[in-house]
Amino acid sequence: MSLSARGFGRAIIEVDGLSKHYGDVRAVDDVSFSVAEGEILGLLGHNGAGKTTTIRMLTGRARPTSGRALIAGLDVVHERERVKPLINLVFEEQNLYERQSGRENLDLFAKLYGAPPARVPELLERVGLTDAASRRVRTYSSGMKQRLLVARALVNDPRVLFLDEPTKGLDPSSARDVRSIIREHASAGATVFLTTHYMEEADELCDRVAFLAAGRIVALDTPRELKLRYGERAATVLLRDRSEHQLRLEDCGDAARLQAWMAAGDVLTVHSHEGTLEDVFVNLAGRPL
Amino acid sequence: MNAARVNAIYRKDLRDALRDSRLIVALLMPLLIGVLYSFMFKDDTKPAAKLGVVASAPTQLPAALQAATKAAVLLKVQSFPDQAALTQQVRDKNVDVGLIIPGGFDRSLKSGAAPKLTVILPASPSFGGDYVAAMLDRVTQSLAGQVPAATIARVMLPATAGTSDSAFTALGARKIFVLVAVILMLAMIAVYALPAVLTEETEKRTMDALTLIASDAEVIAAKSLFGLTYCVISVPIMLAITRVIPENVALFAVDIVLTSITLVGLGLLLGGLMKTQTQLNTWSTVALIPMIVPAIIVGLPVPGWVEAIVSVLPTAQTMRLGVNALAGRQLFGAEWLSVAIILGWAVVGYGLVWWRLSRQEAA
Repeated sequence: MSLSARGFGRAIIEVDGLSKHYGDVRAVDDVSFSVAEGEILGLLGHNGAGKTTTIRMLTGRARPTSGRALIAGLDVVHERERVKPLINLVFEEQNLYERQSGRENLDLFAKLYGAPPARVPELLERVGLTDAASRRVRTYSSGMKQRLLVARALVNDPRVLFLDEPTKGLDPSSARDVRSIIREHASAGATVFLTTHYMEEADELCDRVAFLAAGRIVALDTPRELKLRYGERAATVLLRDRSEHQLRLEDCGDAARLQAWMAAGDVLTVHSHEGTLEDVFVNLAGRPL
Repeated sequence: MNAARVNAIYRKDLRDALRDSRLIVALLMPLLIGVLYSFMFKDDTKPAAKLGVVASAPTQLPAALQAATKAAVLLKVQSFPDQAALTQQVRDKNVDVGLIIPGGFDRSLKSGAAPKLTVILPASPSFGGDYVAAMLDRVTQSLAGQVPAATIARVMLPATAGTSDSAFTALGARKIFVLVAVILMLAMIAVYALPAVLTEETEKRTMDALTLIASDAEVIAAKSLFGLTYCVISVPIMLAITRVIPENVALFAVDIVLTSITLVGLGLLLGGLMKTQTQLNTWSTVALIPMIVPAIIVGLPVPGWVEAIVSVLPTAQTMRLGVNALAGRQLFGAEWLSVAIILGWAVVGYGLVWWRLSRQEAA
């Protein structure tokens, strides 16, 4: 199955039949897709579905059992050294040097990527850590650490930014800050590939969403298309007698009941709602995230 | 390999280590032990030495030697019936220096006949033995009242394995224990401090962030430099604080640099195998034993099989070279073999690190 991007530029990530097996366990099983330049793709799935393994292979940190992945036309295994400067990753763990200050952390990675020194204060400003830049990271809150992680991942202005659960465990305000930085980076033309457990986040951020179950992609499309195709359209009806009824719009019986209430003038309000990504995921994967 | 990346990681590690209390303790502990040894043991303790004499007639020479050396050595004199018995005692190191005095020695000396005097010394003479032998010329001249006084023939017995006894006598306990503390410090840096840095990177996943851009070889090169820097800086600090100055500075420097390179390689291997700090705490203690024990027991009278095992370990050779460098002479022979054994371990250590990296790359 080859699932390609629609309405974006040329593909920058091309994955073809990618698999990773650990003995008999198929962590990722024959996955194919492509992601266009400037696109935000979300990869959703249960724990152990293969999200992190997919990112590990795409970032060259795990060798695929079979299949291949290209980034900007370069093979992530055989041309890894040429791929490295083009990508960056926000890890799931807050893997920062805690005895070093925020500035020292960014300085190190700016040097590793050969970024100009001016990039460090610019990024600190962008993630709102200028005032805390001289403090050791161990004194940072979780939200501050996450923003620093994102800043570190932007140090080389990557063409492809991978994010593994970027807002996990953050309070709503910090999560919003992180999402805003991701959106800003994508709007500058970079490609973003993220994994998340939060359906609302995927719905809000992603141009397309892929559902991964047992190592295989079971659906990949825009959130809207997925909701229309797999979600359940419903309506909440409030009658004059103050009783509330949940109706499924595809159900003929429910449609007839609504028609009858309308004809009798019993209806006070009708609120229609489309399915959520959560519903789509439950339909496809059998259980919620 | 990108030198700028290696330098960036190396400098980060140096800075980080100064803020890491575990590493500071790992460095300070051997330093404090060295300082403690330095205060506990003194250099100026007058060493005892035993003079073995074979004399076929009464002579004033032993008494004159005792008088001439009393400021530096507490000299005891023991008579032996013949040269064979005396030679055996010198070989067994029961006697520091042997003297064969011919009959009528004192009379011949005074008549200006320059009688022959035979001095028997072990391959690695003690300080006392050496000192007594060196004083012979002056004492015989004083007895004869003229130059030349006696013809002195030195017999050096064939080399046997060096012993701590001779090392202790030649260097004094203070220098020996400071040298042991130096080796302990190198071992602590190599098998605790360096692996602790590596293990922390693995455990906290910062290694993943580094290798997202740097190669494994660049990270390993930076960690090696970090370990070597700490080794090379801390040893002179230890020597300066304890005021121990090697007689042969070049040999000492070679010894320390080679040992540092080797132990750092073994430390990198250990650090690469450990996944958590807890594992490291357990295994670094185990790894310290074969590094420290050989340094302590080098030259002690141990069973042959123990000596054979110990002699193939790198720190045993570090100790041998170190003793020679501190003494400024070969108390332990075959220095080239010591260098070869230390280098052999370096090849093993770095070879295994390289093999492991290759396997990691293929995973």
